[in-house]
Amino acid sequence: MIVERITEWNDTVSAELRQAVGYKTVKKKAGMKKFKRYFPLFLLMIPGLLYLIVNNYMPMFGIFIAFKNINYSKGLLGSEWIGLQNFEYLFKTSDAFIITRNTILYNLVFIVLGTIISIAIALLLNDIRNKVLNRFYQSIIVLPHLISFVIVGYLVYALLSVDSGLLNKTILPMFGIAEISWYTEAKYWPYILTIVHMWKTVGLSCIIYLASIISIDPEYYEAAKLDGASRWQQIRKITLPLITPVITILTLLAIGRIFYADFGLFYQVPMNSGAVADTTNVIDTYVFRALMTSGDIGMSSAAGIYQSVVGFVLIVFSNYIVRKANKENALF
Amino acid sequence: MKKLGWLTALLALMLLVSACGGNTNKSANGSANDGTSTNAGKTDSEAVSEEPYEVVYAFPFWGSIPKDLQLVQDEINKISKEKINVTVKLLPIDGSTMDNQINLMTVSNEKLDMFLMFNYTTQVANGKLYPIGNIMEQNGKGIIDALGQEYYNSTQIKGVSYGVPSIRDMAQDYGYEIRKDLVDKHNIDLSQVQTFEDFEKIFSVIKEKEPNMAAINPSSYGKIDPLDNSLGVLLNNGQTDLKVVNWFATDEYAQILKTMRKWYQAGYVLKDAAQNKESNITLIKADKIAGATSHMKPGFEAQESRATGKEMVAVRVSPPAAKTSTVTNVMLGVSANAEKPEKVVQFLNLMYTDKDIVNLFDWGIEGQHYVKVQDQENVIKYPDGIDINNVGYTGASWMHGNQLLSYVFEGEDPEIYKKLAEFNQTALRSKALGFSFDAEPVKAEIAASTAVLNQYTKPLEVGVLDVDKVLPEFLKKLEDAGINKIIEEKQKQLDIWAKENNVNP
Repeated sequence: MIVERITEWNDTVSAELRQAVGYKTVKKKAGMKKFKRYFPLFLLMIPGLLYLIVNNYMPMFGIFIAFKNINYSKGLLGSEWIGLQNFEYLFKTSDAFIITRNTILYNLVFIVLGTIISIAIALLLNDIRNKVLNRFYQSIIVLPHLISFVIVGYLVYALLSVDSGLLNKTILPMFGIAEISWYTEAKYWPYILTIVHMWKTVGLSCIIYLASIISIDPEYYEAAKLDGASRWQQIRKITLPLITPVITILTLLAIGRIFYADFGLFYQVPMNSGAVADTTNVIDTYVFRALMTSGDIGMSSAAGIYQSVVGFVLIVFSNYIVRKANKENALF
Repeated sequence: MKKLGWLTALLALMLLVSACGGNTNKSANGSANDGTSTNAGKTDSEAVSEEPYEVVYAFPFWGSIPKDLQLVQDEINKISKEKINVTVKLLPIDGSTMDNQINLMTVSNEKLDMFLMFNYTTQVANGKLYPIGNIMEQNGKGIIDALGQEYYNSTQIKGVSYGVPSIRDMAQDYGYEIRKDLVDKHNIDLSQVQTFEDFEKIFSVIKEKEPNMAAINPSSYGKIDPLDNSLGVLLNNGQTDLKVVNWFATDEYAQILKTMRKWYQAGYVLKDAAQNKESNITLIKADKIAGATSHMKPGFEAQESRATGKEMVAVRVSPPAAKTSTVTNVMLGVSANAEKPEKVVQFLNLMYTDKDIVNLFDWGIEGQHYVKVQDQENVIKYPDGIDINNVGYTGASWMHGNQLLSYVFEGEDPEIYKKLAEFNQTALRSKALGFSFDAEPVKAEIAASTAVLNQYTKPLEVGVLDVDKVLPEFLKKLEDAGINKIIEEKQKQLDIWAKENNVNP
């Protein structure tokens, strides 16, 4: 229900907004007129804009912390400037390569697999005609998203524990396989982490895809059916092309965060096991391990900035590519 | 990282908010000050009528805030107001967010006079503490006397003290605690254990006779003075010389790891020890382990018996040794923002000298939260109808000033604090006791090396990893992270310190 309503509302509003924003291109007089006409809509924009400014732009003021040696008695502004010294530790480690590789590869896998699985589930959900069941599945599938990673960590532990884990004590013996010490074997973790991540996040993103699938005009499908198109053909020729803009936007946004790793996933789920760090160490866990004792905010901000800058470059670059391919799908 | 990012954001926001809020505060303070200063001018001679200074004292708590905190605070204030015209406002902060809270309070200039910390040198480096060393002689003589000059001196950083340790166990020994019933049942002779390796004699019996129970949940072992962060240490608890070495590259360390590995493979060690987040107490209660190794102090057995509900005994394999880190790991300090540091130190002085105040902090109000056991001066118990679950106030005696002035709870050794005082006095002293390492010049190397330590030490010291394979890899990474540069810097600072303090290497 909500999903449908939101998409409906989205459609009408965005159409109006598109007109409203387009006023610049028209003559100035007409522009003023339009501005007046859409004034209430601009008013509607204010709370969102304020939220964005307070939450996303004002904190940017704090960027300078990364370039200072913070001394609390001198205050944030009074502390001395030390240039790029706070960034040094990020590259001091011989693991810098492993960490960067892990961060980016995991995120790439998550983006690709996540998109495919979410769309697949959205398509399946879309075809469930029974309203009650549909709602039920949607809720079940979103549920993991609401569970804290600390708890997820223990759920996984209940499966993998050497002492009492379900896998080691019940499932593996059934197949006659010997106990596996999961928390010391790095090679299993790429799979475990991917599965956990999918289980946790697919629910929410599939709802977004579902929303855009539902908003597709049913007439397309009716026409296709008349022409004798199979289900598979309908999906390929109608659904997928029509939700491509959503896919591109979500993917572009995800690429912007490719240099951020989900701290909960990579720290809590392997239970901070150093033995599997080769496949679980990412930038965020490295920074945490490096600074948890000193709690240096200058150095932690440096890591944050480094990630943002790389993310920013990547997003501009991939948007550029998308623009080349199809201008309409690009973010900006 | 998300968290760290948010912290920055929060800080920046706080700054902005405080920029708005700070002004009004200041002007309010200013006018208040104007008021008092004229007052003070009039009544300079009779200080009593001066407004009492309020000390805001932040300390960590775990669990829930005692419901009678306010009552206890009022009682403390009655005494402190009369004695030094100071009142205190107790500010318990959740232990896990303590550091952030203190940072935010300092940056936003919120009123904070005194706080408890577990990371003294970092706090000093960050400039959050007022150098109380300069005003100690006049205002806190009692603290120095209670601590003893030697322990007091070990808090000095570049010649000035920025805080004082709470008086508790200033030294640590190391040993193995085990359930007494198991020792009796299987006739284990604890006296045969002299060294770390000897523990095996106990473990093998447990393994054989109690197959469903691990013999040990291990904790880090090593006879070293970690010189603040274990990156560059003195061997033999700092008894031999002042040569800083890489502990992880020593044969001694490798030998300990190999022993642990052997024990792990023999099945003595809790299998999930590397992932375990439960305390020894919980594990012992749940019959998961028979015992555990840890750092100890006098009365450790009694403390553990009370917590686990099972009688525990312990056997120790290394003598008590005092190092800068064992002294400064729980410190009380005056905030750099404190308006009248002298007054704060005077209050601190009471926490080290005034028996009534100490016991208000530790046990609450007499008659309400505890009663004295008849005919005994220092022994107390709960009043009728009150027990640990419904008592209105509990305090941590190791935190609030001088524990040696604290009452002893019924059932514990009434002489415990005498023993503790003796323990502190007779403990071995590391030659580097009093040396504090200034991490600033090698900050990046320390961050990188700490990350390596956090990754490797736990699984290696528990024994889940193959030592021959992983130890070289660990050492290589430490070197890449710059441990040698840290050691070099540490040696340099230590040499200078030794010369200044006339310590013979």
